[in-house]
Order: sequence, then structure tokens, then C-alpha cells
Amino acid sequence: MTPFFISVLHQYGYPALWLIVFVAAVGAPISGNLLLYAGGAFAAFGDFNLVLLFFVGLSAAVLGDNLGYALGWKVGTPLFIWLEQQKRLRFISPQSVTRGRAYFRRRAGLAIFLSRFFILVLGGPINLLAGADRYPYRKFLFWDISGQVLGAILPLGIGYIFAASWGEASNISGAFSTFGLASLVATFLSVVVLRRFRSKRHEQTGEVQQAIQTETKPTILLLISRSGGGHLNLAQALQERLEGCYHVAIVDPQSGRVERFYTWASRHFVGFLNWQFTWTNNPLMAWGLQYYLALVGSKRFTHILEEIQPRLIITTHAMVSHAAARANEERPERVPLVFQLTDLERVHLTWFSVKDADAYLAPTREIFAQALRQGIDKERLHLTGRPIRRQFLETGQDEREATLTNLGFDPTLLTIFLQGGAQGSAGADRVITSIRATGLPIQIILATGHNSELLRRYAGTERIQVLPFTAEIAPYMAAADVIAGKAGASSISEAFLLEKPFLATAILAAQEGPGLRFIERYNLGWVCLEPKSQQELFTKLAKNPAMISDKLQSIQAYKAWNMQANQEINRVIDRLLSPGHEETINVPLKLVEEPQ
Amino acid sequence: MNERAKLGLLCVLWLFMLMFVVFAAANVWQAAQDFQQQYTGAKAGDVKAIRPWMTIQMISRVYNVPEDYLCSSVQIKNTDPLRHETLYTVASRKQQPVDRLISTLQHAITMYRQKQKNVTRPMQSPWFSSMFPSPVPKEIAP
Repeated sequence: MTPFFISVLHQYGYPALWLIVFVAAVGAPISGNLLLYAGGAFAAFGDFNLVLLFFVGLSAAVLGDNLGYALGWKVGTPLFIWLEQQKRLRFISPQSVTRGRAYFRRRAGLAIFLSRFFILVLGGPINLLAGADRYPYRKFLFWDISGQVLGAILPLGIGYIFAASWGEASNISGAFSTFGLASLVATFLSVVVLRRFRSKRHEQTGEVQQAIQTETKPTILLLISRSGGGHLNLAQALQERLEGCYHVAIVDPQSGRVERFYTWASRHFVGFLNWQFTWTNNPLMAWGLQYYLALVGSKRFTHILEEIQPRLIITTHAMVSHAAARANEERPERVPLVFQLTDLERVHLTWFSVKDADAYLAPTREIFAQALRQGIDKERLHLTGRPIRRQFLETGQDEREATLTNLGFDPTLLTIFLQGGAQGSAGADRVITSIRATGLPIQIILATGHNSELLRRYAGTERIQVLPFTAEIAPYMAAADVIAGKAGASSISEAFLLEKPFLATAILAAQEGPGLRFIERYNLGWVCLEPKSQQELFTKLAKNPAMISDKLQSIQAYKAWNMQANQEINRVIDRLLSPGHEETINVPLKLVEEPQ
Repeated sequence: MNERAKLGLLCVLWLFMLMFVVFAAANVWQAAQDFQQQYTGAKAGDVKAIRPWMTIQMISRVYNVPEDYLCSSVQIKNTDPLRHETLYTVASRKQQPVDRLISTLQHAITMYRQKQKNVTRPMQSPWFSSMFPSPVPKEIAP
């Protein structure tokens, strides 16, 4: 067949080329691409003009693709509608057709582009599918022309350069294309098989089932990522706030490996975390990263949503927000989606790759302003303060003396609560060295969390009480005079709620650097990142306790503002879950009075 | 079909695809080797590199053999429009297998080279040759 077409090409020239490429692009099982290789080779021998060949090939392919798209539009759409409504074909459920269409819509651009020059065999079917799914024509045309430009240049160029060997050169690209397609299918099947095994395991352990309760209360799904303890704290705080009226399920949709990797990297490769934070903190990279994560995790998210059947979704981590939004869009009935923004001074731009969530809960005025700048609709934006776990509100100062005595400490001495950094790098060793260097009797409650190495290192050390991971940490923090550690949003917030000044001794520079400004702006504590300044501050604090009480007024003012702002959370959620929330949610925002 | 059977079927399919990936990778390797062989052969003027899609004119340029000489070797007159067609077309018009036509041409080129008693100039790519043409004796009978 091929020599025949090549002879036709050589005999009848450009019109023959145009016709064959056109018919091939519509979807006929002939290779128009091969003729472009041959055309390139003939051009090398002076029988054709290469530039003219390019335009002839391009126009024929684009027009053929467009005809395929139009055919899909005409014939495919009614077919899809029928498939989505029929009940006769049991192996094609309407839900799977809907899911498949949504899946295609998300990847259509890439699929159109790649099928023009790489996996050519899929070109025809993809044109039909794009038309049938009413994929926007302008987008189709854009991806089609972009791909076809490459689809013309590559074979013509290769044919021209390797003239006498163009046949063998085209065989390589054909074999490579088959390899690419086979790899894609194999990867897809690997993911499906892995997920099946995983879901089977989950079913056995009942992990997901535990999250489902047959209560009559509407279920709210809180999606978290265990990369950093702060996000879980935030989810637990929201859970405590909402569980009176709703059933709240907290689920981490990511693999356990993500948590293990984050813990490992934050202890040993802080520079890497800083680098990746900065590198992705721009709209393009943020979108790219979210797109990738959504691509990788879509099935998992869909599975969770199907299992839990939430009436509302809240995410407390940027890395799960985009995928959650996409999975939600794919559901037959979309539910309201809420983003609980996390940091205090500035959040990562991955939070704003989705701009159409139903509500954005901003913990501070600074984040509220940033979200506005990033194009989030003011009607969807709510200033709700930082949600805090109940234990931090219920722990009183009156327990301080008893707690310190139980720890074997002298209540009259300066006590520092030091976040050792179960996850994250709090630089505990450096701070302890700075405290010891003062030579003053300062007591340390060292929270080591899950960091067993740190625990072993300081267990039994004089004036240091090591505290392994405990869910009820608030009484220990409340017993101290100063809370010190990494300037995470969670730690700062918990400190001001306990009316304790916060001493920032370490940061993940890119992520938590802006939080330092927040501490200084609202006079919530001190920032001492260097051992020398830490030593000086500890000396001053030990000798002049009035420095601590000086901070109290501003801390209490911020706490009062935050607690007042927190009231807004329930109002927002209630309105989103009330029937016809679309009308009521757009009530003008009631701004909470600014803290003094 | 129960879940267990579905999973089993999926695993079989997956293994099959993995095998196919390996096969496709081997194919890429084989194609690359074929290409290298053909490209080196064509560059060195190896007559085995003649393909059915080539025209007599192309062969003449690739192997530095006069076009008229090649035409007469396959019994095509100078005025016959067939001389501008692919070997595939020429063979079908002459109602003979294309392989035989190619073999005739290979033989003619070998004979021509022997008569010339010159070492064959390594072939350049066609566009290189067209830019720097080499003088070729025209009147040599096959």
C-alpha cells in the first residue's frame, strides 16, 4: 500500500499529498505522515518544494481534523446523550460515561496536541471525541494547529535530512510512537491496578468506612495533608467548631509516603523545602504543580468523595485543594467547596490556582487582602480568623503552678516551652545551647513530638523536661512563660490564644518568613533567629519578667479579635449548607473590628 | 463478574501490556539499528540501499552513475516519461517484480563502477551533492 501512495505522490504531486493527508486526518486508516517523510525526501532530490509541502501538509491535516471534529459534534453528541441515559448496556454505566467525559475534558488539550505528531494513531478518534464532547472549538483549533505544525515539520525535516534513508527514519518514529502509546497504557493500567489493591486494603482495614457515619447530620469532609502538623491542627479546630451541627470526617487523601517524605526533608533538607516553595510560588508553576497533583490523585479523590458522600468539602492544605475541586466538579452533584487558607501573613499561590471555590476562609486581614489581590471574588471571601482547637480556649492560667510542680519545675523560675519540631525544623538544639549559655536558671519544656532522637538526647537533662507527642499539649504550653519555636502559623496562633508571647527561633525561610512580620506588626512576641540574639533575649527575660507582661495587652487584643472573627465560620458553613445557598451566601461581608 | 475476577483480569492485562512495552522498546532498538545500517550504506554508496520509492534520477544522483546509463540498463528510452517515475511504478508498468528491477539496477551500478575502475566516491546527502556536483562521464554503454 505504501509504495502505491508514494508513487501516487510522486506522480500527481501536491494535490495527491493534500488529499491523502486530509483523508488520513479525518480518520481513514492510512498514513499521511509517511507521505510527508517521502515528500521531504523527494524535496531533498529537488522534486518538491519543502516550504510548499509544509503548507500543503499543514492545511490538509488541519482541515481533516476539523472535519473529524465536526463529525463528532454531529454524530457523537447524541450518542453520548444516549449512552448516559440508556440502561440496556450494563457494562457501560451512565456514571462511567460522565466520568470518562470529564476525564477527557481535563486532558483534551494535551491529548489533541500529542496525537498530532507523537501518537498519531489516536488523532482521528480524538477529533471525534473532542467534537462529540463539545470541546470548545477555539481551544481545539489552537491545540490542533500547534500540534500539526510539529506534525508537519518533523517528518518533512527528517525526510529531507535523511533523504535516502527516510523509510528507516520513519520506522524509528513509528516504533517510538508505539512504545509511547504502550507505555501510556501500561502506566494507566499500573495506576488502576495499584488503586484497586489499595482500595481493597482500605476496605479490609475499614479506614474509609470509619469516616462514614450513618448519622442524620450532614457530613462535612475535611481534606488535609499531614505534611506539617499545622494543617491537621487546623482541621481539628474546624471539626470541633462544626461537629455540634454536622458530622465532620477528616481524611488525608495523600499517600503516607508524602508525610514520611516531608518529615524526613524538614529534618535534613530544609533548603530543599525552601527551594521548592519559592520555585512553585508563582502563578504558572503553582498551576502546573496543582495540575500535576490533580492528575495523579484524581481517582483517589473521586473514591473518597464517593465513599463519604459529603454535603460540603473543606480543604486545609493547598496541595489537596485543586484536586479536590476537580474531583468535586466531576461528581454528578457538585457540593460546596471551602478553602481554609492557612498562614497568617502570606499564603502560597497554589491556594489560588482555583478561583471559583464557594468560600475562602481568610485567617487574617493580610491573607484576606492577598486573596483579593489574587483575583478571588470578594463575595466568596470571608474573614474568619484562625480556628483554634478547644483545648487552647479551655486551658486556664490557674493550672500553671500544678503543671510545673508535676514536671518537677520551680514555678517561680522563667519557663520556656520549646517546640522541638516533630515535623519541621525548629532548631531545638541551638535554642537549648543559647539558653544554657546565659548561665541563668531557665527551665525548658521540650516538646519532641515524634522525634525520638531528640527525646533520647535530652531525656534526664537538668532543667529540661522532655515531652513526647501528646494530643493534649495546651496545659504544658500554658504552664510556660514564653512559647518558642518555628514560626508556623499554628504555633503563633496557639501562643496568642493562651496569652503567651511567642519567640520565633527558626523558620522555613520562604514559607514562614512573612510570619515574622506578622509577629512584629501585632506585637505578639519576638523574633530571634540567631543564637546570640536568643541568648541576649533569654537573659533579659530572666532578669526582667516585666518584658513578658508588656506584651500581654496586644496579645489579648489580637486574641479577642480572632475569637470574634471565628464566629463567622459557622455562619458561612450554615449558609452554604442551607437550601438555595447561592442567593444567601452573597450577603455583604461583615468586617470584624481590627485588633488594636 | 466479581471483584476478584476483575482484579485478576486487570493484572493479566497489565502484565500483557508490560510485555508489550518491552517488545515495543526492542522494536525501537531494532528500527534504530536498521536505520543506522541503511544510512551508513547509502552514505558509502552501497547498492543495497536502493529502495522501490526511488526514481532513476535519484539513484543516478545518489550513486554518481549517469541517468542515461541506468535507463538503458532497465530498457527505458530517453524520451520515456517512465524515467521520472518511482521504481515501483516502473516495475508495475513493465509487469515485473520490483525486486528484479532493483537487482538489475544494482548490477548495472556495480558494472559501471568496475568499468570506471575508480574508487566510488562516498555519497553525500543529496542536497550536499547538488551544491557541490561532481563531473560524471555521460557516454558509457552498459
